Amino acid sequence: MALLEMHDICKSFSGVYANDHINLTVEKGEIHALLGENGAGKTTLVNILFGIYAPDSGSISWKGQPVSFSSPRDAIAAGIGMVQQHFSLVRRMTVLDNIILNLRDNRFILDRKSARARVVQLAEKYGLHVDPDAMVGDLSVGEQQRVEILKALYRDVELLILDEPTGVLTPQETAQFFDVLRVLRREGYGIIIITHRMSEIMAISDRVTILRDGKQAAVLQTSETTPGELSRHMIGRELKEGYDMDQPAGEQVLLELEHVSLPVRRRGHALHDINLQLHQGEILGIAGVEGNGQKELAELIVGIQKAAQGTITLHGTSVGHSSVAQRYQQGIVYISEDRLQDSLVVDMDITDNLMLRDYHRAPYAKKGLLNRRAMVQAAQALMERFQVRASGVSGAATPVRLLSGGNQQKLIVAREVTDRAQVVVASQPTRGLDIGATEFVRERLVEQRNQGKGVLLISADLEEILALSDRIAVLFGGRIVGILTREQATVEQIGLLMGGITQKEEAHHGAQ
Amino acid sequence: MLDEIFTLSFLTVFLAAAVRLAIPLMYGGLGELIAERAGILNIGMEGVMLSGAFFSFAGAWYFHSTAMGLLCGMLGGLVVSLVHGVLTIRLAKDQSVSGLALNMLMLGVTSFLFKLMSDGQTYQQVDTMPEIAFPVLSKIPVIGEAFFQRDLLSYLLYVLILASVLFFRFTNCGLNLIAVGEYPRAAESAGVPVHRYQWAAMVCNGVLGGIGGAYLVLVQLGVFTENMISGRGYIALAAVILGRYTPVGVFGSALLFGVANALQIRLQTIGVSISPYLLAMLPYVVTLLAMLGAAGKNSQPESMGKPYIRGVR
Amino acid sequence: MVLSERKRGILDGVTIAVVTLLVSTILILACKANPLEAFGLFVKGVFGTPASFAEVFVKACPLMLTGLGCAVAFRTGFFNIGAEGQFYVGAIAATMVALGLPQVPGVVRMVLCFVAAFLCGGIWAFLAALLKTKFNISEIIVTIMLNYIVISFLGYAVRGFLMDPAGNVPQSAKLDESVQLPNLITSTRFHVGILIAFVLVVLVWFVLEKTTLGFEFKAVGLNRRGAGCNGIPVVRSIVLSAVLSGGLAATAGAIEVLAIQKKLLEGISANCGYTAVLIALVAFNRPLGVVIASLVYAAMQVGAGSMQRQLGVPSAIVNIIIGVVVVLILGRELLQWYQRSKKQA
Repeated sequence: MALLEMHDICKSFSGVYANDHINLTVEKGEIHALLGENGAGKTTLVNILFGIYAPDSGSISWKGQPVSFSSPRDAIAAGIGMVQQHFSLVRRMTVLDNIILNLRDNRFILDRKSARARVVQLAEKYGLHVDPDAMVGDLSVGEQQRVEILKALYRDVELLILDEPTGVLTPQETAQFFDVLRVLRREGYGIIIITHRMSEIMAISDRVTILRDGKQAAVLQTSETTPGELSRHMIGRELKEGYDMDQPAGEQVLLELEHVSLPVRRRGHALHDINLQLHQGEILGIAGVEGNGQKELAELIVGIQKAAQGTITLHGTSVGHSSVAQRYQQGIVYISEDRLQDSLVVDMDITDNLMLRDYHRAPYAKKGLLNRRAMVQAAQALMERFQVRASGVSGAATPVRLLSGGNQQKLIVAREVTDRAQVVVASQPTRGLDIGATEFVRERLVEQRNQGKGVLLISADLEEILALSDRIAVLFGGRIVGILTREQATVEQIGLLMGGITQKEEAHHGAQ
Repeated sequence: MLDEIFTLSFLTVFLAAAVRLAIPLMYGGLGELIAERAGILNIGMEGVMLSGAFFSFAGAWYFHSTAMGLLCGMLGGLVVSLVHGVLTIRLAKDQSVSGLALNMLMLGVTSFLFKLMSDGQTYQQVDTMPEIAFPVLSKIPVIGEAFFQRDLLSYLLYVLILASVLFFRFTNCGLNLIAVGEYPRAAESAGVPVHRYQWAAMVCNGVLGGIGGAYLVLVQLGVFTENMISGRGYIALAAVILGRYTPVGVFGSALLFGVANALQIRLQTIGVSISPYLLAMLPYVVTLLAMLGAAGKNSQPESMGKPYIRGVR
Repeated sequence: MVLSERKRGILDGVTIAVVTLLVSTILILACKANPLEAFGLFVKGVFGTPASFAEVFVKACPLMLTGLGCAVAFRTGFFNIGAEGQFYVGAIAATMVALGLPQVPGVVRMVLCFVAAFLCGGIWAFLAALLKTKFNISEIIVTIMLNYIVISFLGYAVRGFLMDPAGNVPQSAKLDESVQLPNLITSTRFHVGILIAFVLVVLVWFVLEKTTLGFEFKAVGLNRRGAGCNGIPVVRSIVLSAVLSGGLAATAGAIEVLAIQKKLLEGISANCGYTAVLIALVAFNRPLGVVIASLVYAAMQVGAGSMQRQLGVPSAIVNIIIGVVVVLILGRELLQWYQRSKKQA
């Protein structure tokens, strides 16, 4: 008897099928991978299982009994735990309080003493070391993930759902994490792991269910398949190999950071003594696990934050004290990782969003007076050129809130990547986009490079970095721990650097 | 003059006045604290208290009973908070806008109903609650009279403050409530019914704010006048910020406002030659300075003021 | 039944109007008055004579300016609840200039009154903007505290340095005629200040809709962080909108003193600074909307005044109605009967 059977699950959102007749079976002591691109329906499926959405049709049986969960509470009570991609932890509560939050067998008065003892014991057993009295907000991402797993184990789950658990981990942390999963498998837990990383699926899972466009593409035994086969089922075509880089990167330095530092602030990451050179006609990739100072680095260059020490020069002149607007004027443009918050004003229309940078310049404004007609005309031209599609009839007057993620990103690219651009700072530029939009954005970046401009590509996606960059710098703990050329770079080497192990230390370890 | 200020009897009277003036703020502040801890900002506290004041007066007048007055005051406050709940929890609307609209609405409603009630008569008064001296404790010099020679509602408040400290620190529900205000999605995924907690918090908000308003009528004045809360609801909001979102903090900062207000009144009665109108600014200036002092130390619940909608990231 | 947003807006408007009418009928019945008679008096009270109709504009004038001020501040997300205090700051400043510079000729002094009022009101609002942008302190509470402070100060002023030396009532001396704003229509109170208000409405509309400054205000109000990341001067926008907002409310105070009261005394705002917040909300922060909402509100006040005089229906009914309207606008989903019937079908 299977631990979990989901049968013929259908769910649609405003007429579009997110799940179209999906089946999923998980046995005890099985690690079952759920593979698919963004938007393939993985998250919808597990949200249905977890009681967050109700399915339109289909049935779920749990340990042989038909069940229907109307809230996460029901699912947890039955023994299903989920670790979300964005952790469900309260930052300003202790680890212990997060773990015992709303336990079923909590009395009205909390018994923290015995709970603490049990947490320590569980942590020992599964190698999930973390201080129960620490504030969650002070922990590293890896530690927070351990708290999430402890939280689930404490609730006596029998099935654990892990949504993209390794996206934020270093390769080394990932290896440790997999050790924990193996112990859990041995203990008879069922595990669903959602991911799009082939190597991890091959390393850890027993079976794979692949979703594509809301449909079930295949169910395979991991031992009998290959990454190539997985990829074919997931994408339906092979990945595009390289990009058209017609000439080698230039020699002339375009942007230079020397000894740039930023102190720690509330909710931010520090940067220490950053030294970087970006050349003309070059894509410089910044690899690293998220939360090691990427966002701060981008914002320092663009001018949203100001460095405490060091100099930033463009074409040899200092821009470190210039405002965001001045730097844009000089050609530093920005595709931010947070489209909705940082790049767009989603309640304004397409025209206004395309004009956020240039609204005060001719021909859009003269002496402080706006020229609406010129704005709309320019916006329509840009929409056409960058294939921004607005649903509905309003065209350029459509609020940006109503656009798809891909169209929103195209809009940002259309606004930023203009003739004025000299340095393009692109942070996670393809995150959450479908294949078409991803290709479109990447091609624009390569195009900029080939025109002799500089591109700083910050991405947590190693494949993207390797495919596009001329050189690769690795950011760890707010420091640049290594810079490699594309030819030198290997996944292993970058992986080690992302985990903070530099060549020197490696040599040091070797000598011992 | 200074020696006049620092006599024991002066301090005793002064502190007693300060506590008396602070109690309504403490009730309002505690009610607001619970709501904000659950993520709901109720700027309509002014309206809640006004409603509590009016309906307690009406209840006490028609039923000739202080107890009925108190009950009506609680219900009056409750209704306002529940309307706020419908708009901000059920419909996820802007909490500031809703609160301000309710203040204006309640100003109109209470003035309107009071005019209907007082039709013809000019002056109406209800009985106020008696003072009950607490044995032993009330004999402590200076603070004894201020804190322990008071009315039932004051004693109830002390119990409520203590209970809420224990509630937040040691109970399952208290932990859940904090989680709801800090990060509702985390609470939901731990199975906490977020909206139900927010509704419960709004009930506390309304009842406590209602008592705060009723206190003015049933303990202090015995009468209702138009717009009689005159900003106390807003000061209660400031007390929550100053008190760093803790019950004891609210108690302390409400007391600070009480002290500022009592000082203003005392200085007038002993004939300090500053215009009473300049002294009347004191509590508000203190509030501003205190908020400036508390700036930068962020202890506001992270999700306060943001509507929580299930299933949306 | 799928409705376009426009049609839905009209249906909502009709529903809200009907509910509001219903509420007023109930309130009038509660006063044991005949609703038809009351509405009749209401209409007569508003349109009965040129003077009463002019009174609508007289009452709307301070609401229009304070409401406009709130709308400007709300555009950048600066929740200015301080129009009440800024109104008084303007009134005090205008009185001080009018009484304090008797040697300056009338028209020049009048202009100086307005300049002083606008500046002082702007500075008063600037304080709150400073605390918000520098220290991240809620402008809502700060502006309310500032209101109480200035109202106390006014009490002090009219009993102290501004008190009429010839009397013993808490009010200033009467302004001499040369600085008073003249009436435009004889036997009514329709004064030049009303024209000034309309001119300012048009000016503000122009700034908000047609200039780069208005564009900046809008972007900052809708996404403060995003605006900053795109190089829009966020702090400047918030501070400017606050100052402009305070200046407009203070102008209302100056007009009230120079055209209506002709002296400074307590309580002259009639709470219009708080009403203004709701007017701006009802108008969705649009200048034209502010004009309409102010006129409607003022008409209700005038009409309700005549109901109160003749039938004893308390004029607080007007406060109830605007409160109800805002609550209904917020809660309009609960009223969308035409959508619910769709679900049943």
